[in-house]
Amino acid sequence: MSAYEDDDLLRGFLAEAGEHLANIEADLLAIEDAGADIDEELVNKVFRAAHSIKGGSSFLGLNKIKELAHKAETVLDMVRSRRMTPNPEITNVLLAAFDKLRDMLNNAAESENADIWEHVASLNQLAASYLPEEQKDSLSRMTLLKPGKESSPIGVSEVDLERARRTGQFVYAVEYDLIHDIERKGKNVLEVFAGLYESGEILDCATDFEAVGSLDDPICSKVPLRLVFATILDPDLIGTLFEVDDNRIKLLIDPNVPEQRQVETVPLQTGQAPVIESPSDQEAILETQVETLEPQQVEAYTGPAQPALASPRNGREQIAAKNKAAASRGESTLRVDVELLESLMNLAGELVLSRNQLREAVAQKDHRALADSSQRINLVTSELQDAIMQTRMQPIGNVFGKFPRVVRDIAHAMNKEINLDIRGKDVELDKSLIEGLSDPLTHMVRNAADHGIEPQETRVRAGKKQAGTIRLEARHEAGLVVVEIADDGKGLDPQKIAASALKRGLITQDKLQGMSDKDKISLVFLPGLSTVEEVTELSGRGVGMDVVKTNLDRLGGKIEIESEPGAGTVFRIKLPLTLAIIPSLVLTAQEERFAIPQINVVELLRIRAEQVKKRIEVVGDAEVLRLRDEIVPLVRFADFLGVVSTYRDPGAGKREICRRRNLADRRSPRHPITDDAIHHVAGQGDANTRQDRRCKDGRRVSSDSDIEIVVLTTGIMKYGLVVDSFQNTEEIVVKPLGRHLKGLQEYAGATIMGDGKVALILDVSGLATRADLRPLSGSARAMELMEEAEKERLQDTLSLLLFHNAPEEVFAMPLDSVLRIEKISAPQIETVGGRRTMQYRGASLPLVTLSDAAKVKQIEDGSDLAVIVSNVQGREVGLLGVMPVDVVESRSAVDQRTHRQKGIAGSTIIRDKTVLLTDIYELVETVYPDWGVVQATRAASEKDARVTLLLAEDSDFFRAQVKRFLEEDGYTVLAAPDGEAAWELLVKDVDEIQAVITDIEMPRLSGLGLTQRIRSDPRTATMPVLGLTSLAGDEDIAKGKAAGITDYQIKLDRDRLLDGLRNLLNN
Amino acid sequence: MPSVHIEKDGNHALIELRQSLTAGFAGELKPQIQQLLAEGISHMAIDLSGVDLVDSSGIGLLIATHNSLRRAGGGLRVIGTSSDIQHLFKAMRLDRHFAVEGKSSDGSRS
Repeated sequence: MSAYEDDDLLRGFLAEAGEHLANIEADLLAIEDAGADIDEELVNKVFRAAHSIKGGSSFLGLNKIKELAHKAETVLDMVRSRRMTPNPEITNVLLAAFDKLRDMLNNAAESENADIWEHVASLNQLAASYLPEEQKDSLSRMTLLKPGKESSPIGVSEVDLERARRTGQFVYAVEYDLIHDIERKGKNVLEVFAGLYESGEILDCATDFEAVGSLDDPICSKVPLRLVFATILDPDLIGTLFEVDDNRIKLLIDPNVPEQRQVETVPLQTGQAPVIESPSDQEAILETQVETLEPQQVEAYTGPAQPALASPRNGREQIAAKNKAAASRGESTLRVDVELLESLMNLAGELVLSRNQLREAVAQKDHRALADSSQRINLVTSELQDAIMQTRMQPIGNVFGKFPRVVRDIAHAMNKEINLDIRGKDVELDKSLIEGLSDPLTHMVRNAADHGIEPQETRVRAGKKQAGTIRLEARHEAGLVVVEIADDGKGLDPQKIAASALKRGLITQDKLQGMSDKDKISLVFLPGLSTVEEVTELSGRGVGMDVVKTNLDRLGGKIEIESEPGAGTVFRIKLPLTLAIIPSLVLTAQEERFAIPQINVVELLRIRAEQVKKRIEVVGDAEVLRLRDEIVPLVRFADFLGVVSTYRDPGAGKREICRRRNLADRRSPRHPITDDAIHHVAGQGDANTRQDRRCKDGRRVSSDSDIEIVVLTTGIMKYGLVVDSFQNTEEIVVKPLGRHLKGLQEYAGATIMGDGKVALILDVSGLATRADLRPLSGSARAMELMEEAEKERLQDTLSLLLFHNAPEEVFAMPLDSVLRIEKISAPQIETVGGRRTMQYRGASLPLVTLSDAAKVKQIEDGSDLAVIVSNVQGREVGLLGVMPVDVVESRSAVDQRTHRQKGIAGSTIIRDKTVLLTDIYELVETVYPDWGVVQATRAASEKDARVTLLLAEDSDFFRAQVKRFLEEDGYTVLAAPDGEAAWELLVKDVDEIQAVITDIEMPRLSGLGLTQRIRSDPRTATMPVLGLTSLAGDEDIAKGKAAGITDYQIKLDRDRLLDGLRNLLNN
Repeated sequence: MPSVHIEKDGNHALIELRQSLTAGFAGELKPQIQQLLAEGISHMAIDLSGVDLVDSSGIGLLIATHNSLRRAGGGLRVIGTSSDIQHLFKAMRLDRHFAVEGKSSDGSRS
């Protein structure tokens, strides 16, 4: 390999050949257009290209290139001599041949291993078809029947393959035998083939005539065929159709891979592969090849021993790997404007001068001169940077150049008329961007031509011009380069896309409701949506759009879609001018620095230690971050590094290695990182183990330290990356990773920091893939999460005032019923007539204690007393308690049985302790029965006796409390745990029920929903509805009123509730 | 009616089959074709007008015949194929090796 590459002669030849091939497509198309009216000069030009490539390659011993060039030359000669009239078929064959030549030239060292028989065969056939009959026969037979070692090669027309790929079909090569696989299995060949026509299309079939033998041989025992079969059946299913071993079916084309011409890099026959006897040998050899060959060759080796079919996903990765390999080889020379080169020279001179100055200044220790030269170097460096960047700039026309042909081919195949309007060819972009743009652009242009532009009849019927137009435009805009691919076709239908996404489970109905049409169209970028063939039919777009997006992401580009049904679609790509220098955020993790391109950074978060538990949760098998109303998956960066985990000892303040980790686990060969991550998350599903998590699992951030999170976006999804700390933002120079690190998809490159140390640049999407993250929003798991969050939100929180009675007994009282808390000393309490009071605000405040009613301990003498003032039956009452008091929010369930007694409503668990809930009303009634707390209200509501109320409340505690208040007050209460259940009760007993009391936040049907339903049903439209809620905002109240709620109360004030209810019923 | 009708003309022969070209019949037919070949007949046309079923062995026989005739410097034509059989032969690309002509002339292809 290197013997060639070191060779100046070879380089010269390759450069020259490249020039010859540069415009060949346009020329060939022009030749075709001219038809019989040949432009001799043009034909000569193309002929010369083939001729000189043939000459040069022959000289250099590149025989395969020579052979193909020679064949192309033969055909061109026939065109030149007018023995052949240019037509699309000829152009296609020639274009394909020149494409292949270009590929081979790009990889001259490997060209001898290239597979060109297909092109040679087509060219031969072409030449033969214009030759007299006998010669033709021999020519075509010679090429088509040329047997491989074990089987004959198969030709498939490129048009067929293109069609298969466009329609989302897989293409397989199947080794089949009519006798063994059909007759001996009791099947009939006609039926079998009829079955094949139904499930797909036979693109080609090579029957091995030699294997059949002649009449002299014993009756034939085998009729081997090699079928090329296009079908929508995926690799998992194809085996059931043919009922042959998997190793006899090979995947040639995977429609999910938007590669334009996979088949050229996936030759059908074993080519140079050694002849192998036994299957085990074959596998052994295959393995060694895998190790020693580039991905490209590995893939090319599709010998019979290939043990399993590449799954679609694998296929895609392989193609991606191949693309990378190809890109890295890419162009090794670059043409630079002489003027630019001269300015570079000047700047180099400047730099030398500045360096001399600097040395001088350092030697003299002259600070002023030092400052001067520093400034100068600064200036020269940035100028130099600009100039060098310019050398990398190339016109985008280099990519656009190939589209006339792409569009023409498709238009031709689909019988459409399409004009391609190319603008802004001269816009320059960084070389690497130009290379990276090629595939995504091709894909989108193809899509536009294939699916975007309607068939002629449809266009005419819709009153459009018969010829469709695709516009390809590049322009500068706000420091970015904008590339647009626009068509005037049928446009994208957001509803259909949304429906498909929904069907595929990629998004939820809820999510869809809030989406604009534009958002819906953007769903085509969701992975998974695009791979389904029915989506292709429905939306017209979509095959591989997620791959397009991924590619663009890699380039730091953004893509947006504008589409109007019936009028067309515009894909707009925005790209940075260069990739070589990018603004980045520098951060540290495990004492290493890393850079993240700013374009991917959404926000930086610090979660304080005490918030960690609240903000970060473990759901299913993953950690997630609550980010405002979103739930974002979290990736602990340390998990990815495979470094020895350290933690900062909170006591000593220094880093220590956590020795609990088994290093061997971590370095396991396959997926050390993901396996590890899953393992570790699964190992700590219980959030309560957080306290000891640090020691149990070293990568855990200590529970008493803050957590730094950078929220990143891949454009499709957001995720949080937990890092150690942030440093600063910096413009970094991107250096490619060494070959040995190329396989690491989580890194995009490396850079050298100001202090000379290397920092790796993170690839945000690569990292997400590596962490096996999927876009959360819309996925089923996200749904779960959202539901969980929603449920939690709906679950009423109970604000409780905690206080003590005896030191070890903790009591609680709903905060809503507390007016004030006063601290008093024992002497302030007066005991008169067996009843305690205290002087309070110029009046006497009756006091009660829990031990007055409930069987609890007495308050000890000398305790720090507190008086909890609340309002009972219009009078203020003080409850004596003992400090300290505290307020907590509790979501724990209230147990209304175990500890129920007079004065105690029930119990709940707070901070692992049982807390008794005080019922102040009962307490007061016990101490002051003459107040008639219960009777008074009962009497007051006597006239409403046996009034039936409907209560809808999801919290068991509140429901029971309210029900009790109401029943004590003489009402009959029907209670329901949600709006839906309430509605059912209401409908059933509509004549009985006189008013509805409803909570607002409830599952299934909310209070607002219930009210709306009540109002819109004639049977219940006038029913009074009292809203009872902890949502107290004006907005909430307005919403409630709008929904038709008659009165609105904040829960839970018993007296106000009863008053409000009486008002409601009396009016 | 015999299942095979053969007309000879110099080194050409027309072989009309009137029975499904399946394994059994193929074994019966093979020696007859070999006989013709031995007589120096190198160009054969096999007429499948009366055949609506072929099986793998039948196809094997056609291919073997083709191979033998090629070796003898002649060739095979298969004519009068029903549309199903025609479709199968085209799908198998047998028509790349020997002529396959359908019952109606418009389906023919040389």
